[in-house]
Amino acid sequence: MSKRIKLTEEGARILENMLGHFVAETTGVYAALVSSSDGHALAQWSQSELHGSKLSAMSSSLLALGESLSRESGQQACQYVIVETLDGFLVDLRVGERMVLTVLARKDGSLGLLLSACHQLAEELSSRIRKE
Amino acid sequence: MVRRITLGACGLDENDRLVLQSLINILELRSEVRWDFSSEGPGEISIVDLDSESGRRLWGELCRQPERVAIAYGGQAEDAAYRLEKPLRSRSVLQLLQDISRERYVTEAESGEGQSGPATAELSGKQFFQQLIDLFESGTWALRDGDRMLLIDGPRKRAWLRGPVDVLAGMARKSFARLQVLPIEAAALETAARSLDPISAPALIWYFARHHSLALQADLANRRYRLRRWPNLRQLGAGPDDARFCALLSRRWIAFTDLELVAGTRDAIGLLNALAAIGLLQVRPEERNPATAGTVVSGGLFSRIRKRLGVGA
Amino acid sequence: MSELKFIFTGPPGVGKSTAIAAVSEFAPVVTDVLATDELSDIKAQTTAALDFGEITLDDGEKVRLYGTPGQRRFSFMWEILIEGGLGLVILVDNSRPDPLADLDIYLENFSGFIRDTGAVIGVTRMESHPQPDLDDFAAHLERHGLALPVLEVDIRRREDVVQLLDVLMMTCEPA
Repeated sequence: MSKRIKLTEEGARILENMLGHFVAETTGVYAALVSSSDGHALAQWSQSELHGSKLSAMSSSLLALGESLSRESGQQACQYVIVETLDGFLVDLRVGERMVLTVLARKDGSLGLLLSACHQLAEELSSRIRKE
Repeated sequence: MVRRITLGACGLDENDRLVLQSLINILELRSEVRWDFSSEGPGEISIVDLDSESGRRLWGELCRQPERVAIAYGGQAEDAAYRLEKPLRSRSVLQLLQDISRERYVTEAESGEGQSGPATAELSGKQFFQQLIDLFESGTWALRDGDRMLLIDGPRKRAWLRGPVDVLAGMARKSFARLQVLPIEAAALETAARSLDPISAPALIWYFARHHSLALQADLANRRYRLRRWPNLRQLGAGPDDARFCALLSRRWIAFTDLELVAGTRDAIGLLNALAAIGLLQVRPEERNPATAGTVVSGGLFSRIRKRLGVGA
Repeated sequence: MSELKFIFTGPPGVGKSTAIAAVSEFAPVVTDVLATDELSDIKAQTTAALDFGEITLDDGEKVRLYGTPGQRRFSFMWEILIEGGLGLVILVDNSRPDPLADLDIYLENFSGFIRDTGAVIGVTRMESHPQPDLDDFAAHLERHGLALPVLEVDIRRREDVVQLLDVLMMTCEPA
């Protein structure tokens, strides 16, 4: 059985819609991307210009590193990799086994709420993809 | 007039004799004298190995003959005017022989004139390989050295060997003139070849050059060397160390003395011979003020890493 | 003083992680993720960030071995990983459609690093895929003006990986 991920146009449109909703409704969030676990860009929604393929590859690396770091430190499964900057936050987390969600946010809202919203979106994306 | 000096090796082991013989070629191109080599016994200048019985015996005799210069090598010799440390290093041998020959044998008038042409020893080394390569041009040949035998089918660029490839090393160390080279009928060659092991022409050239004890490169010590292309070491049947030595030559211009430090004198000469013989060596004259090379610290570092990995010297 | 660091690179699936595991004194740190493209037909996982292994010298000093991700989209990791490196091992998989073109990707992307330090090329799976042969690789490198060492290797064998590192160190050896 092939393990390839190939989104149909319809599938990509559904993902983008979900990302669009999320960006519109979550305080501070201005962009969200879904990538494959190995760094291919699958879908994105952004209020500004983004280099999606670059961010996808880097998110894949960063999340993989975060997971390795958790493992090597003897901690349980890595939930998020969070980068805090002067301007805001970058959050990476898994969507199921084979995808990565990347969320970019300004510092308007609280980090706790942001993480919780990200987690919920990942669950929704994951169950939606299982259905597709 | 060109001065001729005989250099005698007294009591030296086989390896040291071969090193000396190679160095003579280098020296001849650098100095105003022609050198002859006597592998057993004294010359006008003699290098005497005081660790050997025959060397110690000769030492007393030589020191009573003031017209002869004896250089002590190994052992204890308070009465030695000249000494060389073990193991033989080309740089110190060349320096000492050059100094002695200037000091004792070459007058100022002589040194200015009569520059010798290409050295005969060096030519004979080149001739050796030219002849070997010529054998591959035409005809079928049998090379004999005692019961060692090499068959060459020139037109088809094929060769066969009796015994393991090592027998070539012995043949290669001989001067070509002392090898028997006989034409052989094509049919006889076919018959004889059946009981022998085939060897490819490039591997044969490589092997001969690699084990030939005389430098084929003119003015060996005053040049720098670099690989033009990485050799197919497996196809050439090269030993594992050759990959390491070639690697040294793969990225920068290396002086003979630097290669010698890593590979030893004989392997350094043999490797340059072999790379030149298969056409993969670039050569350029030594610059007068060579730029000091990279990080000295890493020399020791790499040897520690090798030790940990369990390889190399 | 520079870090004691060597980098392994090469196309996905060539065995960079395996090579590091063959010589590292602990199970290497890996950053494997599930492959989701054509690679997944031959290999379930791929390196997304780096592999990391280590060798301790007698005086306690550490030699660090890093593997890069193979895919060009991860080239930002290549830049990060070569920082301070002493030399590069390029592994090439002879069973892929165009091994010489694969080699070019790494020669180009690491050209500055190769010029400043040193590199060695290990060709894998030659037994089942003898073409291009070692002469083809050497001639190809010569066209780039390079005479880098090219060795046939089975990266599962420790001695083959050790030989790659040994030869690499000779190319970096100060003249």
